[in-house]
Amino acid sequence: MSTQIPIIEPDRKVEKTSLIGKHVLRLDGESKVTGAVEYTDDLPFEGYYAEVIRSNVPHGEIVSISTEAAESIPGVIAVVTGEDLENADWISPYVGPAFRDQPVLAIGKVRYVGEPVAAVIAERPDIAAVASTEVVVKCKKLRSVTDVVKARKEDAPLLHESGDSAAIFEDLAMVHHSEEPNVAYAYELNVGDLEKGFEEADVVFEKNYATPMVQHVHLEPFVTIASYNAAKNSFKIVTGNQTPHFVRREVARIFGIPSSKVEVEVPQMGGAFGSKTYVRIEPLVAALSRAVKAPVKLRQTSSESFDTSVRDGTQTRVKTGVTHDGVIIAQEVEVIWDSGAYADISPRKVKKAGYTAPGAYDIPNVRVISKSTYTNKPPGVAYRGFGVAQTAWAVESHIDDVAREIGMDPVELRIRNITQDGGTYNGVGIGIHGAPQCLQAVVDEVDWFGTKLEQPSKKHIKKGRGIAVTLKTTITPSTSEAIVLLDADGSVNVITGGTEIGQGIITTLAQITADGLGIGIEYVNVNTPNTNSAPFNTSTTSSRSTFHLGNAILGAVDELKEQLVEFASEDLEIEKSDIIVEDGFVKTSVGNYSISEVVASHFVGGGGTLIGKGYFSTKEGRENRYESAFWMTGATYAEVSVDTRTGKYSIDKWVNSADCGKAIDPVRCEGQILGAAVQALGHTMSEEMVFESGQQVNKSLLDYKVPAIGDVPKESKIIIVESGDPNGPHGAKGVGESNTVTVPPAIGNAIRDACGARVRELPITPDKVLRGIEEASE
Amino acid sequence: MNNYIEATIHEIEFKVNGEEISMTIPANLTLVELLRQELRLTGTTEGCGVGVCGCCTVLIDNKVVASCLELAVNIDGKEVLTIEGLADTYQLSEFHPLQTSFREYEGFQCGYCTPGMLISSKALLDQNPDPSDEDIREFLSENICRCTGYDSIIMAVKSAAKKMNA
Amino acid sequence: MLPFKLFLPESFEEAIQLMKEHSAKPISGGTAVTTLIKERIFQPTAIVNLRKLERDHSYIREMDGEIQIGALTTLRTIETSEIVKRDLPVVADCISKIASIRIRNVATIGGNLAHADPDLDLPPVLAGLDAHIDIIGEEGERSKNIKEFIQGYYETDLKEGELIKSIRIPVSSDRKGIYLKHRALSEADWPCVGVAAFMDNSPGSIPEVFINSVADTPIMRIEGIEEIFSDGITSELIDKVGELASEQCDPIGDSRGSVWYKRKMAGEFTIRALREVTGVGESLI
Repeated sequence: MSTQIPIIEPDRKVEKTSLIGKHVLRLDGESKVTGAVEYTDDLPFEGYYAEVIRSNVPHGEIVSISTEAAESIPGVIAVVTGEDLENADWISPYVGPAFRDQPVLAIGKVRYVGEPVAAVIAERPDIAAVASTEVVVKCKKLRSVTDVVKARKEDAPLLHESGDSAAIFEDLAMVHHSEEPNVAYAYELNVGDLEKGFEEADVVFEKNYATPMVQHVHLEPFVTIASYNAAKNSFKIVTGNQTPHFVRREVARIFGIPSSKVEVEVPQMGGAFGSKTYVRIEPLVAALSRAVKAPVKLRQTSSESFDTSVRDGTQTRVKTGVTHDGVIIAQEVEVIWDSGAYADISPRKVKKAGYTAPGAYDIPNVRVISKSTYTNKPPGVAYRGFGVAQTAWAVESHIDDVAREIGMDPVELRIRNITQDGGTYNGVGIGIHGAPQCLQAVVDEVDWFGTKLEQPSKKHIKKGRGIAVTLKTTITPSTSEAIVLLDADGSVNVITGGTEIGQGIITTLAQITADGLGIGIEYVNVNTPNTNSAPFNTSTTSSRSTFHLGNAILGAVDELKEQLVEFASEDLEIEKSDIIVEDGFVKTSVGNYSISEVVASHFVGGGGTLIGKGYFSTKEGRENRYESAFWMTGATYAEVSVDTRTGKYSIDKWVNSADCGKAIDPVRCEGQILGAAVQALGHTMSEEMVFESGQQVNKSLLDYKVPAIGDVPKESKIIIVESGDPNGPHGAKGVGESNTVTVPPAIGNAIRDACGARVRELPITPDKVLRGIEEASE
Repeated sequence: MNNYIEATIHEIEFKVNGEEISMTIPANLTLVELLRQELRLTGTTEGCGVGVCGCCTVLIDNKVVASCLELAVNIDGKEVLTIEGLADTYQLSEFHPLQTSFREYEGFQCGYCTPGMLISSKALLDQNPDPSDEDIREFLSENICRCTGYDSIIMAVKSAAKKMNA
Repeated sequence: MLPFKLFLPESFEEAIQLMKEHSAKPISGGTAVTTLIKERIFQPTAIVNLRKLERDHSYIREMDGEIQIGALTTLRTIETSEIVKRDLPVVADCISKIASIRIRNVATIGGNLAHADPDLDLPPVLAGLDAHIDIIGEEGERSKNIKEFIQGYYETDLKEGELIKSIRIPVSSDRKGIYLKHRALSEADWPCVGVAAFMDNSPGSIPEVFINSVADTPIMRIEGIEEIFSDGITSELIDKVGELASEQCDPIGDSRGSVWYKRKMAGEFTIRALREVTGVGESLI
C-alpha cells in the first residue's frame, strides 16, 4: 500500500439513499445525554471572576460609587465603574447594533433598574459576590417613565438626547431617533389609499391589543469568558452568543483594534431564542479583562437574564375596513413598542414586524405606523418571532373580532383574504410562502367547517375553538459563508459561523453536506464557530441557518466536486465532461472511484486537503423578494375548555402546522414546531414581567412561570407543510418561529368562542377571562 | 471597613457515582457548585438557581434533589448519582435505555435540562417501571424544558420503560 | 451564596444552645431559606443546620388517637406514608400538590410550618384537622394549636431559641375534609387560592373552612358559618358562605390574580369545597 491513510470505502452494494427528508440521530446527542457536552461555563478556566452591581433606581444621575470597602476584601482584584471606562484611553464604551446608545457600564446616568453600574473582579466567585454587596452606588433620582404613552408626551423625561445610526447594517443605515419624545425609531408603510379604502368599506372596526414585556428564559444564563493578551493587544472571547461575527466586530471597534485581533469562540448554548444576539455581556467582560490584563469570567444568574435582555411589550391599535361579504379592503395598524432603555435591534424589529403587521392577508390599502419607544425598563432585544408574535396577537385576534362584527366564520374570512402563493402582499409580489396551505392543513385536520364541538355535561365548562395563521419575514439582507474541508480519507470538516443553540444545526448541516457528497453522515464533522477560522455569518437568528448556511454548503460542495473532477481528469487523463461526482463516487468513463481514492491518489506526503468554499447572500438575484429571503408561515388550531366560574381554561387539543419548504429532517422540524408552540403557550397563559415603580417584582422562575410539562395539551398534532422554496437548499427554509406567533391568538380566539370573553391583553390569565365573561354577560 | 465574614469549613465524606471522596468545603457551597467546580462533574447544570427548573437534579441516596438548594455539607455520609454515573447503573448496554430513547425521540434540543430530566426519569422508572403519561407528567412536573415542548420527552421515557421491561 | 458560619448539632438541646451562642438562624430542609439566601433577601451570619437531627426526629407514629410526625420528617415521607395515606388522606393529597418531588424529598414539615409563608398549602389542612405543634426551647417543651402557632406574615409563635419538635394530628374517622388548590398561571405553581373544608360526620355538624394566600397568614378561617348553617345546609346557603369568604379575605393583588379575582376565588373555592364535603349541591370539580 502506498498510502497510510485509511480509505473510506463507500458500500458499493447498497444503493445510495438521500439523507434529505430522513430522520438521523443528532450528532450532538450522545454528548447531551451523557452530560459530556460543554457549555461555556463547563470549560476549564483559570483567571478571575466578575460580579455585576446593578442600578436599583429606574432613572437617575450617578452621584458617587464607593468601592473602597469592596477593594479592601482579600482576594478582590479591582472594582470597575463606568467612569473608569469613560476615562480609559483604550475603550470607546458605547455599543449597539442600530444606535450606539448603550454604555458598557452606566456612565453618568442609569436608565433602568438592573442596569450594570459597576463590576467587581475577584479571585473566586464567592469573594466577588461578597465584595459586590460592599459597593455603594448613590444616585439622584430623575423622573422616570415606564409607559409608552406617557413616554411620548411633550413633558416626558428624555432617556437619550440624540441618536445616529451605528451604520453597521444596510437595512438600518437610515435609522434615526424620531422628533417625538423618546421614540428611538418610527417606521411607516403606506400601500394604496387608506382613507378611500375605509370609505368604500361596509364596516369599519377598530380595537386595541397589548402584549407585556416577557423574557426568553434560556435555561443557560449569560456566561462569557474574555482573555486579553497584552503582548498582542488582542482578545479571546468564549461566549454563548448567536452572532459571533458581530461580537468580533463590535469588540474590535470599541477597543480600536482590527477584527483579526478578536477571536470569538462559541461552544454549545443552553438555549437562546434571540436573547444571545449582537452583544450582551461580551463588551463588559472584555473591558474587565483589559482592565486587569488577565482572563475574566462572568456567569450571570438566571434572574440577571431579566436585567439583560427582554422581549418588547406592545400596544397595538388595529382598524379594519371590510365589505359585507368579507373582503378586507383597508387596514391601519399602529404598533407602539416598549423597547426599554436601549434600542438594541428594536429599529429592525419595528420595521420588519411592521411590514407584516397586517398579517397574512392581501389588503389593497394599508397603513402601518410602528414606533420603538424608550422607557426606563430593561432593553428589548430579538426574541423568537421577532416582533411578529406581538403584532399577530393584535391582528389575528382582530380578524376574529371583525368576523364576528360582520357575522362571518372567522376561518372563512381568513381564507377569503389570505395572500396566495405567488400573489401580492403590501402591493408587491411575494413568491412562494405556503400560508394558505398551512391554514388549509389545520382546517382539514379538524374538519373546521364540518364539525361542531360538543359541549360538556358540566354546565360551567364551555368548549370553544380558534385558529390563527401567520406570515413572517426572515432577516434580509444577510450573508452566510461555508468552508468544507475534504481530507484524503474522504471525510469532511464543515466550518461555518452557525451556532448550535439547540435547534440542531450541526446535524442539519451534516445531512446537507453528506447528502451533497454522497458520503455517510458519520464522516462529516460540523464545527461550532471560532471566528479565527469560521467565515462570515450574519447571525444564527431568524430561522435563517438551514436556508442560508445550507445554500452556502451546497456551493462549497459544488466546488469540491469540481476539484474532484479536475483531479480525476488529470490523474486518469480523461475529459472532464466524462466525469461526474455522484452517490459518493467519482464516476468516469473508465470506472468508478471512491472520493477518498481520488483525493488520496492525487496528493503525496501522507495527505492533502481539498477546500470547498460557498457563499450565499440575499442581495443577489432576488427580484421582488428583497423584503424577505424566504417567508415563514404556519397556523394553529386550539380547542379549549373554560371553567366559566373561575376563568381557568385548559387546551384540550391543538394542531400546529408550519411550512418547512422541505423538511430536511422531519423529526427535527416537528421539534421546532412544537417547541415554538409551547414557548408561546407560556406567553399566552402566564408570562409577563410585572413592574412596580419601575422594578420587576417577579424576577425568578418562582414567580415568572414558564410552561411546565403539566401545562402542555395532551392531544397534539403537528403538520409539516412542504411548499418547496424555490431558493432553499432542496427547497428547505426556516421553521423555528411560525408557531410562536400563531398560538396566542388561536387560544384567545378559542376562549372567545367558548365563553364570550375577549381578552385583548396578553397573558390570558384566568382573572382576565373571568372579567371578560362578566363583561360579555352585562 | 467591610463586613466580610469567613464561612466555616467542614469535612465531608461521600460517594459520587460509586467513587468515595472526602474533602474539606466551606459552609456556603451548594451541592451543584461542589459537583461542577470542585469535582469538575459539569454534566449537572444550574438553571434557575431556585429549585424550580430541575436542571440541577441529582440523586442523593436514590432520591431526586435540587442540587442548587442543597448545601454541600448535607451529603456527608451519603451517595450521590449524577448524569456522569447514569450509564453505569444499567448493566445490559453501554448507555442507559433512557439515554438511548432520549436520542431516538429527540427528547432534548439544547441539552441544558437533559441531565436533570434523565436523572428524574431514572428515579421515576426505579419506583414505577411502567409509568403512564400522567405518572410521567407528575414526576417531571417541575423539570422545565424550554425547547422541546415536552411531548418527545414523554415518548422517550415510555420507550425506555418498554426497553427495560422487555 | 454569601459566606456564613454553619453549625451541625445532633440534638435539639445542642441546636438551641448553638442558636443562642451565635445568634444563629435554624434551617432544616433549607429549600425555602436557601432560596432567600441565594436571592440575597436574607443574609444570615450564622446558621444552625438541623439536618443531623433527622436520625432521631424523622418519624411518623400512631399514638392515642393521634399521628405524631417528627419535625425533621420530609414532606415526601409523609405523603407516601401508608399510615398517613390511610388515616389522613387529605394530608397526603395536599402535600402531593406542593412544589415538586425534588423539593418534597428535602423540605421538612417542621421547616415548612416555621416558615409561615401565607401561600403555604399545608397549614389550612392542618388547621382543619386541629393539629398541634410541639415546641422545644431552653425553658422546656410546650404545645400550641396550629391556628395560634401561625400568627402573621412569616410570623409564628416561636420565640428566640425555640424550635418545632413535632406535629400531632388527631385522627378521627368521623372527620372528613378536602383541600382544593387553585393555580392560576401554571400547573406547577404556588396557589392563587387554596381552600380546605372540614366537617364531622355527626348529625348537625357544621363545616369549617380555612383559606391560604388571601390574608397575612396561610390560615384564614371563615367566621360566621355556624349562623348561616344553623337551620341546615342548602346549596343557596353554601353560596352565602362563599360570599362570606370573599368579604372576609384580604388578599394582595399580584400576577396570580388581582384583589378582585382572589376574593372571587376565595368564595368560589369555598363553595366547591363545601359542596364536596357536605354532599350538598352538584360537584364543581
